[in-house]
Amino acid sequence: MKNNFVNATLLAALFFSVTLNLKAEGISVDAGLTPAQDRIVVRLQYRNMVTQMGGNDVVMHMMPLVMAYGLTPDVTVMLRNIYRAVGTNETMMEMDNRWMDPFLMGKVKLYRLNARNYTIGVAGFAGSSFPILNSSTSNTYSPVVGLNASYRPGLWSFDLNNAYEWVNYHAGEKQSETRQMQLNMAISRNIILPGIDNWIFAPVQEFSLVRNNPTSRESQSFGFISPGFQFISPHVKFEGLYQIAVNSSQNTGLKNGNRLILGLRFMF
Amino acid sequence: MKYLKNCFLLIAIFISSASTAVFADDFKSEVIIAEKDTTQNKVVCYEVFGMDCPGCQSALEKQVKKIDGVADAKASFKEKQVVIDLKPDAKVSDEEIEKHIKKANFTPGKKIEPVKNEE
Repeated sequence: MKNNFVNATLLAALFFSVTLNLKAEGISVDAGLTPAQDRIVVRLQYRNMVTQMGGNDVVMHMMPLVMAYGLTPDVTVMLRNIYRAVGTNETMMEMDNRWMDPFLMGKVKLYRLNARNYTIGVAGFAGSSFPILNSSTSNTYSPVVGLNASYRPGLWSFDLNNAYEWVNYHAGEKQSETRQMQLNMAISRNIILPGIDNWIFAPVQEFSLVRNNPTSRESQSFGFISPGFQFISPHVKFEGLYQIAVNSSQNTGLKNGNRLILGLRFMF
Repeated sequence: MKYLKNCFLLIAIFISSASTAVFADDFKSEVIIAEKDTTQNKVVCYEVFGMDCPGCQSALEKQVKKIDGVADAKASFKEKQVVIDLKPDAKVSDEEIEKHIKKANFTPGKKIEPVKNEE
C-alpha cells in the first residue's frame, strides 16, 4: 500500500515535472511581437529530456507541433500538441508513447513601436490545455496567463516572457496541483551571412527560471541556462538550443537533466 | 564593261537590301521599346520600419501582394524598404499600400527611390 502511494506520488511528480518543462521557453524569440495578419507559422520541435529519480534515468523524446495564425495584426491564435515517446525508462513506472493534451492560446498586441532604429513590443497571452484526448489522468486543465515584451535595437533582440500557470487545474475540486511562475529571457544577435542572400545566423542565449507555488512555504526554484542558435530565411527557420539545468534537484526527489532542443519553423 | 555594270548593280542591290534590313531591325526594336513603354510596370518604393529578419520580409511581401494591382513586391530588412511592382494602368493609392504595411505590423515611412543592394 505504501509502495503504491509512493509510486503514485512519484509518477504524478514526474508527469508534473515533464509538463512544466514543455512551456514556451526554449527558443522563444518573437515574444512581444505579434505576427502579421494571415501569417501562418508551423513549428516542429524535437526535445530530448532526461529526468533522474534516485539514480535512475527517464529519457523522453518530446515532439511538439505548434500552429499559429495571425487572425488580425493584433490577435494571434496558437494550437500546440505534443507527441511523447519514451526512450529509456529505468524506473518501475509505466509510461507509454502518446499524444499529450492539446494546448490552445491567444496572444494580443498591447503596444508596439516601430522606430527607425529599434522596435518595442508588448503582448499579453492566455491559454490552456484541454483534456480532450483523455491523456490527462485526472481530466485537468492547465490555464496560463502571461506578458511578453520584446526590444529590438538594430540587429540585437531582447525578449522577456512572464507566465503564471495553474498546473493541472481540476475543475471539480477547484484547485490546481501547483501554481507556477515562469520567467524566460532570450538574447540574440542577427549576423548577416556574406554571400548568402536572405539568410541570417543568430546566436541565442536564454535564461529560464521556474518557481513553483511562489506564495507558499513549499516554493522551490529551478532553471536553465541555454545557449543556442538560429538560421533564418524568409520562409524557414532552423533552431537549436542546449538547456543546462541549474538548481535541478527538486524536493520531490526528481532531478532535471540537461536538454536538447532542435526545431524547424515554416512561415507562410 | 557589261560585267563591271553587273557588279555595280549587284553591289547596289546588296547594299540596298542590307540597309533596308538594318533599318527595319531598328524600326522593329523601336516598336518593341515603344510597346514595352506602354506595358512597363510602375515601380514604387516605401521606407518600412519594424523589420529585423528575413522572416519579416516575407510577411510584408505577402501582405503587399494582396493589393489589387500589385504584380510583385520585394522587401528588405537590411535596407528598411519595400519595392512594389505595380501592374500597367494599376491605380493603387498610397493609403492602400500603407494600410497593408500596417497589417503586417510594420510602420510605413516615406515614399523613396529604391536602394539597390550591392552585396
